[in-house]
Amino acid sequence: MIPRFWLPLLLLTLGLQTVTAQDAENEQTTTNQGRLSGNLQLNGNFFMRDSSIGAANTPQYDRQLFGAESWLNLNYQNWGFDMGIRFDMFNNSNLLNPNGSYTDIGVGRWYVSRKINKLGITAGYIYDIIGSGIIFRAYEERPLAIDQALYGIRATYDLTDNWTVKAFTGRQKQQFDTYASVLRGAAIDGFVGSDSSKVTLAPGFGVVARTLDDGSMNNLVADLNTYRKVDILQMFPDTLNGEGPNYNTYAFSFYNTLTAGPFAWYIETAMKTKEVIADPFGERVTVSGDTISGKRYINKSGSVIYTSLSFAKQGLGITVEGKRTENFDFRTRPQEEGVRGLIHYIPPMTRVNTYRLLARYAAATQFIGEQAFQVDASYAVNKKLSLSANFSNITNLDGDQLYREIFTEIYYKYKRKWTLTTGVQLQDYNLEVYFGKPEAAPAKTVTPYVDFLYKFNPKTSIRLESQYMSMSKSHGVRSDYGNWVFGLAEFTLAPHWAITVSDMYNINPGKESPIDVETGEKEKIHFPRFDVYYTHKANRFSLSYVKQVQGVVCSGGICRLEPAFSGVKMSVNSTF
Amino acid sequence: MKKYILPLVFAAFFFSSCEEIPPTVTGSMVMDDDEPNPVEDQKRQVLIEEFTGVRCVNCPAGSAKIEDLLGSHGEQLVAVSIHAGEFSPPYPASQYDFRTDDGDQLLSYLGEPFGYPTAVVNRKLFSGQFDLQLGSDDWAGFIATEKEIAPKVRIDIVPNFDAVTRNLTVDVALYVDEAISEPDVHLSLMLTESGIQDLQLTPASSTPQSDYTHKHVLRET
Repeated sequence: MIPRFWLPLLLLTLGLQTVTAQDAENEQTTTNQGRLSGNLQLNGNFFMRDSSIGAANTPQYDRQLFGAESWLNLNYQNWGFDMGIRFDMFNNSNLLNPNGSYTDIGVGRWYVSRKINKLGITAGYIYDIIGSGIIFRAYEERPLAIDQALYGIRATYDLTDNWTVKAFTGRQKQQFDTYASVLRGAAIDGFVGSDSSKVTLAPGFGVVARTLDDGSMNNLVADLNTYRKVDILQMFPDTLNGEGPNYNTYAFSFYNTLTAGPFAWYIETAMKTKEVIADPFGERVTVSGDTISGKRYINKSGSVIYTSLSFAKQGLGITVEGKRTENFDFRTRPQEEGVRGLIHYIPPMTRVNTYRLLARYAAATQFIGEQAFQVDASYAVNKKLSLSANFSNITNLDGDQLYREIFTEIYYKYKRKWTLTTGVQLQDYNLEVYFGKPEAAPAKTVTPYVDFLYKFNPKTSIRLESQYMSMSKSHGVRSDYGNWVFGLAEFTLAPHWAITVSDMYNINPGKESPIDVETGEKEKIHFPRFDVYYTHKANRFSLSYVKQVQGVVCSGGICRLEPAFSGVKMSVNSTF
Repeated sequence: MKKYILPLVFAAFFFSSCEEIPPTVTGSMVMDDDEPNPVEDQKRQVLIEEFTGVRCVNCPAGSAKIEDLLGSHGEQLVAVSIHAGEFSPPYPASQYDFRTDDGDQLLSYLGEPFGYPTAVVNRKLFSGQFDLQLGSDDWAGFIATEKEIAPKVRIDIVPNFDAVTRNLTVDVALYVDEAISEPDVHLSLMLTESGIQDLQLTPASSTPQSDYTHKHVLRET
């Protein structure tokens, strides 16, 4: 355990010593020569068992009762160096595994970065992206406990003012450890044009390679050796001549942004060499003769094409996006599932909904096959009134419907007194694919919503929110949890206080709603929530009582099923 | 053109080692001989504890995989299916409740999995893994690794079942081949039952299959 701490501690000690010494000498000098900044995020969850909503049978509800996560980030700049260290803590945390309990503590990140003329070098835990992330994205997404930092080294070199090349190698972070597979990559990014140009180009090309570690390959081969020979021959037709799973997989990507007046056009096309990946919707016959549906290995190359065309002028904004994905699951090892071990990120093709019921059914990015397009339009009629609409459609490569959304919004602002936001959302959501429910009819919803903000004075305001979700029926039964109604009132006393009360009520229960043991009827359950937020300068505190229905939690198309929650949440956020 | 030299060098670096020697994949090699071996010849036994539930739609795929592994490894692999966790509550129409207090405690002791199917192999945290619970793609590899290790203790289990009194007597003899330094060593006996037909959710239908055959279900420890 000691070695993983010594370098970060040394860095921090060096940094702090400098500050202290300089403080003693002259505080002004400190400001001029070195700069220490950072931020803190602290979450605490008190778990209160409620079997009626399924908030039970995890270590936290059964015996631990409390869980916490914290990240303290410190960055120091001096002598032309940037360096940083992040303290991570997970205490009986359900963030990593919503059904489990995870406890560990340590240095979650450290890095040192230096620019030497045109050469930039960074070592440590690196966050970076190539293009839009289709072949490589090392990033952090705390609500999903994603931390795909690259633990390694990166060099950048400015070929000209407009052209930069970078190369990196390392391994992917996994909590306080790293995966064993080795990653390497390079990219060249450019810019053609000038500030006065009517037409500009921002082209780029990237390549990433992953070398599978021996342990992962041994397990892969051992698992493939449980497949029938006929399946193996299908995957490796030339197996007699030594064809087998590849250690090295290469992913390439070309991308470019073209801007011409009010238009901006981004296109990225990526391909990946043949590798063994897992198809979560596969099927195969076992040696024993059983047909099993679910995850199975395939040996295929992959491709993604993604494009986005946007137009913005005089209050009118239109964006059209399209994407086609085929066998593009790129992970540090093929055994990893869900949000784990992903090397890349494929942009989602749906809008990010924030209202509670509108966000209930989110479409997770499908890596094996997805064909999608999205149109987003907004128009400001005048300073008071604006309109917007969004349409997105996702199918698999066979044309089966996975997701469709129609969203409309009217925004009206009356002087500085009140604003009204209202509209309706229609969804068609494939429960079989996204929730893994066999033979489940798609959830077709109609959800009108209203958001009304009234300002009593510049400091005091109240916001009222209401949504109603109407769910389609299949064989006389409403899909999933059926119909919902949601109401929220938020009272704000700027600049410090905000108090929110809300309730989500399962007004017409559906197929998955729990049954009342006494009556034998489906239960109409309330999911209330009460929040208090206090903000003082760069510090923000929150205390919430939460009952939350099980659902999907997503971030940028990367989703996971989230069990119900019952209890009290508190958080502290601070930047300095 | 000079400015393109460096990127080309990088590209060459990436392509230079495209040729590789892949491992050999044979497909399944089923063992013909599953006759019990005398304890003198006993090799290391590998225990796979599968966590499952009658409401777990993906678990039958894991169970089928275990059947294949039992076919490949014969007597050296011992499988136990533990019904515990979020998918384990029986249906109202289920004939049996496969859950046991011991199963719940084992799940709590070994840790909640990230997803199902899931199993723990020899209760060991393997190199490159971060949890005891393993996804089904990792089972075969770690079982093969464990099989190769020489046993520290050979175990001879002789069960005697009296059909009249329905009493089961088990004689266990331990042959310690290697000094064991651990101060706290326990012997656990697990009683499993196979061939039970009852409800199980499968990917084939939204209603559970009524005649699904449950195997090596943990009944008692």
